[in-house]
Amino acid sequence: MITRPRRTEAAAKPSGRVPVDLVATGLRVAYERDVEILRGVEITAAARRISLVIGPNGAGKSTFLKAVAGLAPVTGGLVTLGGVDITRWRPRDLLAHGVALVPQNGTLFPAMTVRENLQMGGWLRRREKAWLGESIEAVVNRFNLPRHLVDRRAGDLSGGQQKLVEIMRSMIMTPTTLLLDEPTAGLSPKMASQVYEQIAALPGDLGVTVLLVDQNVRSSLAISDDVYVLAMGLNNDRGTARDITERLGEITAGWLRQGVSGAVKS
Amino acid sequence: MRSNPEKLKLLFAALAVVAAAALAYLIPSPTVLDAVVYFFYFLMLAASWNLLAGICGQMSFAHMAFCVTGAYVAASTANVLGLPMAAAVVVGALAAACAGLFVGIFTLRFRDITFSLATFAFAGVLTSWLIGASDITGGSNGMSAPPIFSGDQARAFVWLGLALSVVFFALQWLLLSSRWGILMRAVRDREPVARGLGVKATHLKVAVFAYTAFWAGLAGGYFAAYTEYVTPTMAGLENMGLVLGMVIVGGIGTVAGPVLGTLVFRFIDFFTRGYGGEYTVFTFALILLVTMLFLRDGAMGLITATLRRFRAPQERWHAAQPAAAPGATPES
Repeated sequence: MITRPRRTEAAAKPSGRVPVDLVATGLRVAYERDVEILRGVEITAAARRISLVIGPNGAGKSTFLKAVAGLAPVTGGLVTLGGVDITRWRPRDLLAHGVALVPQNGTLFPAMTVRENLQMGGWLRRREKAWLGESIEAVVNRFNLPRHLVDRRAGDLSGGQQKLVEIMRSMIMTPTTLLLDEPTAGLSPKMASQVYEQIAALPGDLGVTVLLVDQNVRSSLAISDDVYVLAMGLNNDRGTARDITERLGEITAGWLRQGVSGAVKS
Repeated sequence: MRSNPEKLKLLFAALAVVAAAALAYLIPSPTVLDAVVYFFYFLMLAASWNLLAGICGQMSFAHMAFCVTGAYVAASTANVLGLPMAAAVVVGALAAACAGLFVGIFTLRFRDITFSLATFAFAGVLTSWLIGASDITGGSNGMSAPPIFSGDQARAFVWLGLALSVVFFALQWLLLSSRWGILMRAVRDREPVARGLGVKATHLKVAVFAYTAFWAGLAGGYFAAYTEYVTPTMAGLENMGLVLGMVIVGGIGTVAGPVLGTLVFRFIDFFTRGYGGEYTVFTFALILLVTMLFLRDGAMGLITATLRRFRAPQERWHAAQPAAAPGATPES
């Protein structure tokens, strides 16, 4: 069990926050001793851009996101946000500091209405009722959620809409950095494109830095700016989205080879 | 949430409670009065357990242990310190709340079945201790308790029970319509997510655990004062099972469910009592089984479904109405 020290200074008001770079340097994660999932990953999510992390199964993509979000045991390396060391911070402190995570699995409270879910998203600032109400209103308008859905049970929404409400919920606290773990897993292509459309608009409209981990490579490349390729817990490749799109065939062929050699090694 | 059928159900539950009290007023036979006092005793237990398990999601098996804690502390403070029984009952309830706080701090670190087992272990330890430490607790012979009222006991206890139940439901209503209502359901449905959003889930669970333990202890003191007697059998697994069954038959997680479940059980008990306790348990177990097989949401679920049939057909929403894409005009 790793310790998560309390960072009281993180609870500072998020108003007037400026998006800054999220930088991971030499990040190492091990769930068990001697079994390292990440072996020194270097990723920079530049401010107001969408950075995409892709890689074959077992490359450590989701673990990387969890490590940044304070949910995986970091054994080495640093995560900084605008120069501030945020390694091993607890999720609630990260949220107060402007880093929000949207996990892969459905995380809405199904028995609650959409509005109640959004209220839960602003839990850390629950005492500022006027602010919370405005923030919910702003997010509902921003994502064009049909009005009649706001008071419906979240569990009754379609998969794509649930995902959108999850992203909306993470936007209530007006984060500067959004961590997204496979936002379109299990969605139909039509729903997925709606979700991607909304993600693509985040940096421009709200000045949010997006760090996206995805297996839906082609669709996510279309909305990304910078791309990082992981393999076997290490950086394998990096480039602009256009660059990676051009070399995609070559890269995925490499994944197959690596998968085989990895299996032989272990 | 506070739609029309919700109000109707609440009205129904309130009527049931008032009817029970009125029954005692109209038919002042000792058997009826006795049954009504038992009704309020079990109602307090079932309703507070429902708050803990049905709304906050913590399946505790220690509820009767807190009840018996309240009863024993009430009886012994009244006997030893000479406190008036009414004050002793409050002391007993506070002691139960303290016990809940203490036990909660340790057991609520566990989740789901592990938590249930931990509370089960606590209840077992307490019952064994009550039987074993006979020089303190009177062992399996129990402990006598002084009465609260002089004169017409049973009728006074009916009114006291009614008053306590009304206070419980009023406080619960306040609790559920505040932020705590949302919070408890959030912790019940997805605790890790709630934690990630900044909720101090363990604090909340311990607070709810201690609060419901307070009500269990109060019910125990009320019952001890009525029967003027406390025994370790009160904490037995059979009673815990009955309380659990009442909540499930009535509809777990609903406000009016425990009222209905307790009512059903008291009726069965009232009519089978002459034939021996086994018949009561047998009939109730049968009803519990039928409920779990055919009425997943208990009696309240049945009532909701029936009410829904009389309402205008609801506008159905389905996947053919996806969220408007950016740029489209929002509906309003």
